[in-house]
Amino acid sequence: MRNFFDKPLKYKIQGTVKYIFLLLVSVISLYPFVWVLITSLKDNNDIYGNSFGLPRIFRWENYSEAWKSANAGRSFFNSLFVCMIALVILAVITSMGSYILTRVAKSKLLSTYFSLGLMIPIHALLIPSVLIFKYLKLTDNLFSLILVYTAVNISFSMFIMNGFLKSIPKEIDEAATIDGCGKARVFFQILLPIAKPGLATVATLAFLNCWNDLLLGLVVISTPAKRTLSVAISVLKGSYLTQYGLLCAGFAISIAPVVIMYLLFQKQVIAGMTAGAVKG
Amino acid sequence: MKNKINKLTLPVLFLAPVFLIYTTFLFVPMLQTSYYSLTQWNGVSEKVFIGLGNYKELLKNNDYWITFFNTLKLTAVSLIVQISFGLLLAYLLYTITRGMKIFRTVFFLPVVIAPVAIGLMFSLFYNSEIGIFNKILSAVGLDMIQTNWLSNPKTLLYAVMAPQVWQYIGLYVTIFLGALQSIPEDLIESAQIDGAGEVKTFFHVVLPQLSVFLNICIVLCVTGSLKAFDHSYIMTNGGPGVRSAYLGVFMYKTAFGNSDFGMGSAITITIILISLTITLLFNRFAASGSEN
Amino acid sequence: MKNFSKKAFALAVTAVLTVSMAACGSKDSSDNTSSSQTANSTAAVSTADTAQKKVSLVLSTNWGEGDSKYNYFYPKFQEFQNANKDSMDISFETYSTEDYKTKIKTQISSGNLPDAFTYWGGAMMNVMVEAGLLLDIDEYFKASQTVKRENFEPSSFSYYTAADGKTYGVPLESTRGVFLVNTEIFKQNGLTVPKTYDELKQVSKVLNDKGIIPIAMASSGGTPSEFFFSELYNQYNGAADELKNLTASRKFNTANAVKVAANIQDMINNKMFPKDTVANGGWAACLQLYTDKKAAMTYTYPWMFESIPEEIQKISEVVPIPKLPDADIDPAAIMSGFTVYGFEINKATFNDPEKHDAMIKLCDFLASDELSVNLSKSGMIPAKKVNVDMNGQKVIYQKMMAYAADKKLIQVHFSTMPSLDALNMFDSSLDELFIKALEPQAFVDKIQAVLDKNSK
Repeated sequence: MRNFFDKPLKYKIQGTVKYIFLLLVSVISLYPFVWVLITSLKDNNDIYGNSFGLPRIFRWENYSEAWKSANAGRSFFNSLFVCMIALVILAVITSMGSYILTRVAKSKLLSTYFSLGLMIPIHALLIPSVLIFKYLKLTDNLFSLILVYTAVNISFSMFIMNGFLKSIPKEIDEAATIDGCGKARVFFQILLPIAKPGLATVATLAFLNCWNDLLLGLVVISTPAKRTLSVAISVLKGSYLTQYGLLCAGFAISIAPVVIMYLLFQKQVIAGMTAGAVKG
Repeated sequence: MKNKINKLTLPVLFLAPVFLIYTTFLFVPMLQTSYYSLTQWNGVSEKVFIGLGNYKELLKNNDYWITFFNTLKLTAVSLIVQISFGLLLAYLLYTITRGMKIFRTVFFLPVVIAPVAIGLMFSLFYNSEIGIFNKILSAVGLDMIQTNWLSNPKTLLYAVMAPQVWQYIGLYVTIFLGALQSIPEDLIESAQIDGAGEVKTFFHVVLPQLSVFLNICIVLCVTGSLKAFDHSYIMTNGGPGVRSAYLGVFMYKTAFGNSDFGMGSAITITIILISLTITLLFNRFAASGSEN
Repeated sequence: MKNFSKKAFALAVTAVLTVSMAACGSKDSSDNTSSSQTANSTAAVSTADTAQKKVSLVLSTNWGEGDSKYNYFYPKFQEFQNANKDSMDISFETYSTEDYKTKIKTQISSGNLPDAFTYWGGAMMNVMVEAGLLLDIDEYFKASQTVKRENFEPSSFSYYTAADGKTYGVPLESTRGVFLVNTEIFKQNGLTVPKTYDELKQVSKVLNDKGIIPIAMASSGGTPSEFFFSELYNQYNGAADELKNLTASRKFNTANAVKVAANIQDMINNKMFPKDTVANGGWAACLQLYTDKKAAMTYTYPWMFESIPEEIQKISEVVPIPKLPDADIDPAAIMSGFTVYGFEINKATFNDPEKHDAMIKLCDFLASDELSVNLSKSGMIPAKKVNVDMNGQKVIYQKMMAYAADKKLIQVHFSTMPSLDALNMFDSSLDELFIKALEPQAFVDKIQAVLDKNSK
């Protein structure tokens, strides 16, 4: 089945049908992305009058204008800085915590406690967070944003990490412990490398969460120079009238790094594969 | 004794950072919210403690129940569509020889696009004056189901639901694919050597291996749906009335729109309680299922 | 192990909670204005020592980079900032409207309100007034050398006047509701502009047959329908007084309101509006139908003028809304005109001796004739009595002002609705009325129920 031409006709047909189906889904998946790119080159008249066609006039200047208006250079850096640091902290602390909860001291209570964060709508966190940062004298500080981004992603990261760690056979660390490894070493040198696909999945999704966050970035940060990219792009919306072409250009600018990030982590996923077996 | 202390050091050391950050920046806000929910508070004035007053009023509020059932509908649709499509696509990707990486990236793309853009696209798409959805329908001979998708009380909620449910399928594809790849190869290969067809292999060999991740995705899907906000708010403002609003939208409109943070917090707490109930029930169900 | 984790969990939760609860406790006491004021002034002193008495202020607005006012506001602001760069350091924070409301609300509850900020009045500012965060602007007028209360249209203050009779915002933007007709479409189809409801019905029929939407009017989040509703409301006897007293009387449920709702329902039944009023709702989408010549008439506001192409401005005329069948007042004599926007002043900063002078300077700039005149180019009608050079204005703006000259200005529900939840209910229920999901009486009752609930 893996090797198309070695297989009987039945499988060939099955394979072809599979590809046709996947291609169809791809077109549907790709379309909004293409739509954002096309729309980013239009003006409002073109967007409303010709919503799904190619631009009548290609407005490349939307990009330079969006870049300038959103102070994209600066806010891009802010976003990258905050998201990357939050991501590193998140990966380290959740995998450590997850290790304890799945292997060393299993606790249903703590697992449930950590899953509460999945359930709270982000809007409910806005005012309490601002008050906490005010108390900590960390108002309008990028460090606050790192902390809160880490915190809001803990629940789902631990949740997924738990799953990956649970699926690693116990015999592996038992064997290592017999070999005389301490628990910390078992974790860092043996389990973590095996759990790499899990970590990569978590990192991808958490990065996406942080990168696309608008509300926390909006309420925690005030100074324009400290803004994150999504907040800066959001300023492109007008009070009564939004130039959607400009806004979509902004979105396109902000999507690019996420896609790059995703491709990057995909490599990680592959590289971290345990069996090392070549597929196909 | 010393041994016992040593035994405790590692768990404490490993758990402390994640516990501290989580508790301070997530659990404490949650506690604050539950306190606000017992007060009458407009966001600046003194909080007036009114006990369960907000909750009592909520139970009597018709709009609350409309959004409650909207949210349940969304949860059901998301579970059915996102989990099954996510699993199906992930498995298809897992079994193909060439192009897996490209397909995976493409399937994930909708997830990264801002809901504002998706919302705008679908509003234009549905628009019966300038949109193309009705034109497509008539082109394929489905004239009779043409309608004003966002202005018809019967279709409105589902029209708002569709882009959201569809947009996040890629998320589940990613998780399932990661999980599939961590299943030992030989397990599947031996099943196929035994002559099991693809469908059989999937249900008898692959699915049991995925049960942990199936649980994860179901919980993510349920909790995600229960706090859904963006698409409804962007496309219709949750309206007309609250006809396309979910609990998350209703909460935001109450707290930030009406400056009624006491009531808004009460809605938040109900969202958490519903999530918790469903999750715990589901876990119990899943646990008893796996024991059999 | 299980026992251990339970104990450790309990211990850790207790520890963190004690710390954080202490935090919340002390936060509540430090939240009041007086202590934040001292905190502000100590900060000011320390910066003053290092940078020659430089005062730092925060100016927030939703006239951000994507807004039509930005290009007329920001250059003037830069001039002001450059002129005062030795004495003040102004942090200029812009947001989109939706973000801005969220931001300000979190800032209110955390006591970090900007020093001066553009904001709405009426129900939108009540919370801040009740908490004593805003300056009574007569204190500012008293302190200012250049800006006085007399410089403004007297009626423009009502939107910013709270229940205590004091005014808490400096009005900047006034507006007029305009009913536009595309004369070209009318001419091409041999139609004349309808004056009565019957004529409107006939015109609509002809237009519908030709595939043209009669009136671009829709409702999403209550825009633009809520203003259309108010404009029609004023065609009835007693409506003007009912509107004026709405804040105090809390009575939305009037016979006139039901009449208007019933008429709107009839207009929908006669297919005068787009089919899909949700997807075509909102200021931009609605006007777009008109500017794309897909609709023959529309009702809009000057803040949208920036997006009407010049060619459409030329063929558009401002005309009275056709008179409703059961109306009492001739619509040709009235026009909605009211204050919609202005700026508010942080009381604590204003009374801070370190920042007082700088604040007056900043407010003088915001209330200056020069800025108002410049902003008028974006379609804004100044609330201040200034001479706007008509020749520099858009064609449509000139037509509007000429039409408005002899009209009696009327109020809208938007400015007099006493509370935010009632206003929001008004908006979302209008959306329902437009999709025919509510009967006129039920629509009116829904809003009244919110008003009644609050008056308890």
